[in-house]
Amino acid sequence: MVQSPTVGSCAVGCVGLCGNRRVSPRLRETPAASLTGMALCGPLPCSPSIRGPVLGSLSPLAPLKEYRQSVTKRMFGTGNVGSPSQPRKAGKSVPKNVVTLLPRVDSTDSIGSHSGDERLSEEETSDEEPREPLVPADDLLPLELMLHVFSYLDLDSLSRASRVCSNWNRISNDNEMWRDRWALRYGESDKRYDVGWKRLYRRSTLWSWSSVHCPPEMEVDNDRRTVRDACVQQSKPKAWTTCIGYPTDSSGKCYYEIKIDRLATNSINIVFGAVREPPILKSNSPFGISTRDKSSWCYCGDGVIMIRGLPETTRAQPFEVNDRIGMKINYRTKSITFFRNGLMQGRRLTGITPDLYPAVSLIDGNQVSIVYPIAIPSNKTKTKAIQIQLPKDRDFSLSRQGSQNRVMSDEEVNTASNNSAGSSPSSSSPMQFWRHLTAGP
Amino acid sequence: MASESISVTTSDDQTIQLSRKHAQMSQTINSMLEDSVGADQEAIPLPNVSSEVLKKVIDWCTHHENDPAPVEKVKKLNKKREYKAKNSTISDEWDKNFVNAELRVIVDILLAANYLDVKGLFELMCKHIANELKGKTPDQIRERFGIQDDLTEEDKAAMRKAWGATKNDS
Repeated sequence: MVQSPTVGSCAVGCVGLCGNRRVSPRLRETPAASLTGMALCGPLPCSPSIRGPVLGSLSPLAPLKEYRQSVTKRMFGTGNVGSPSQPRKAGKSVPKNVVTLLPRVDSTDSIGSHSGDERLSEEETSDEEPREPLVPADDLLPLELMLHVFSYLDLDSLSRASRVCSNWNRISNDNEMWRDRWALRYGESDKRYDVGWKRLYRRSTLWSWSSVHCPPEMEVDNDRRTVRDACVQQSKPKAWTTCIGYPTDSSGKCYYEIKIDRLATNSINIVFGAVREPPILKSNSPFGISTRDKSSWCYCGDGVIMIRGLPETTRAQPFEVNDRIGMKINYRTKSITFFRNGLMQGRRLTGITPDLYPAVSLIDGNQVSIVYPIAIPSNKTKTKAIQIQLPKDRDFSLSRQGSQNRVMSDEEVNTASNNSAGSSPSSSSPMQFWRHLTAGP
Repeated sequence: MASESISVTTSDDQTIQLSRKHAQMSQTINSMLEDSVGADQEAIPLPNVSSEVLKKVIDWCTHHENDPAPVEKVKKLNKKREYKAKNSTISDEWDKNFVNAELRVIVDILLAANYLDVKGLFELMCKHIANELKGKTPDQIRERFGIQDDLTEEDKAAMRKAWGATKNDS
């Protein structure tokens, strides 16, 4: 609708541009567009050694025709403008395969309304134009500049901006922009990776284990979701090791959930919670157990919830294989709540400090992986409080000689998973918990 | 030594004088000057920039002429803040006033800043447009920027799903 054949208004050299590609009246009036005639018809007004613009992949004085074509070519693929064999200009490019949500757009389809319909636009331009006409978004700003603007947006805003129109959707899926975001966040981006950076980034934005803050005794998988204690084979007694995760933003509510993949028996076996600082990575005890950890809140595998190194009086349920352990942090109410299989454990703990990191302490080859939940459990789904005395021999020393180092058999795994999948884990778990405690050496 | 003032010709054929200091804040003009050392000092043609916009740019350069030169910071892995996104807040009060203009003007200045390669001004305009986009629903953005809606409802639903849109999204 805003196509305007400007053959009459500019010199002969512009016919190729204006005749087959759209130039909105809006852009035509801008000074940038008024260069069209000059740049194409006259010699380049200055030497070719001029540095390019901040982002542009073309010299600022490259003819606008070429520029527009390169933009539109990258926007719409090589199908309708230019020859497909022509190599792409260096710089930002929109991979063709990232937009799978939309039907392929060709020039007569959804954006065809502003390309090629000369008669309509003649009528429009002759009108008084009572209000500013709607323009295709790439006429607002060229692709490179829009990418730069988008790099300032947070994910929520970017998500909304991507739904404004199909061009912005393409721009917001630009692989290199996501790689830059990744680099900004993690300080690294391996250009050899040919991955969907958006997917990687989006997934990591939820949260992921830090490979930087992971001690050598622990292994973090490549997708940063699974972490395991890697010292099963060593005969020497080994220490607890703690890995922290990259948190999501600390402005509002966060929910972290892990699934217990492998659970070797130990008196505590796994500790999951939140810490203020990246903790001492290797120590004799899991984080949160000693009062040295002034700002830590954790849920231990034996069902004890520790606040700042002191145990809570109300007990939670112990961990089992395939359990999903959740932790909800609300920075507005300064509270933290633990969940096991969607059921709230213990009470809501208040008085947390900001900027907490999720953390897990592992021993004996245990393994946990991150689950990205579909729904965040509510505090109301509370399980019956289990009042059990703390066992006297609560042992989290570095030795595993005392423990039998028994990995659950398949049967037990099945039972455990049935329990965890069942609606009332509270009914069977206390007994298992007792057995678990009394089955010590 | 070259003269203290540079004259440029804008797209609307006006010749504007600006001081060498301001001119050198534009990397584009700066490299032109370097290339033409010893040559006759003719007016530099700036076919992409109108006089109106150039005056705005000069305004900005005047206010920021004593800013330290922008240093390319190598972003290092910051242990605590690495997850923060690029900051789009505009701290300078004068700048806030400066960007308080019509969208057309903003876009023109941004294009000019890109062409002239004035880094600070370019960043400022990008930040401003990003701020305009923030917190707006797609409908509001379309209205504000006058953009055609060429997406179907199915497209939008699919995108919302793919992005895992938050609940306050429309």
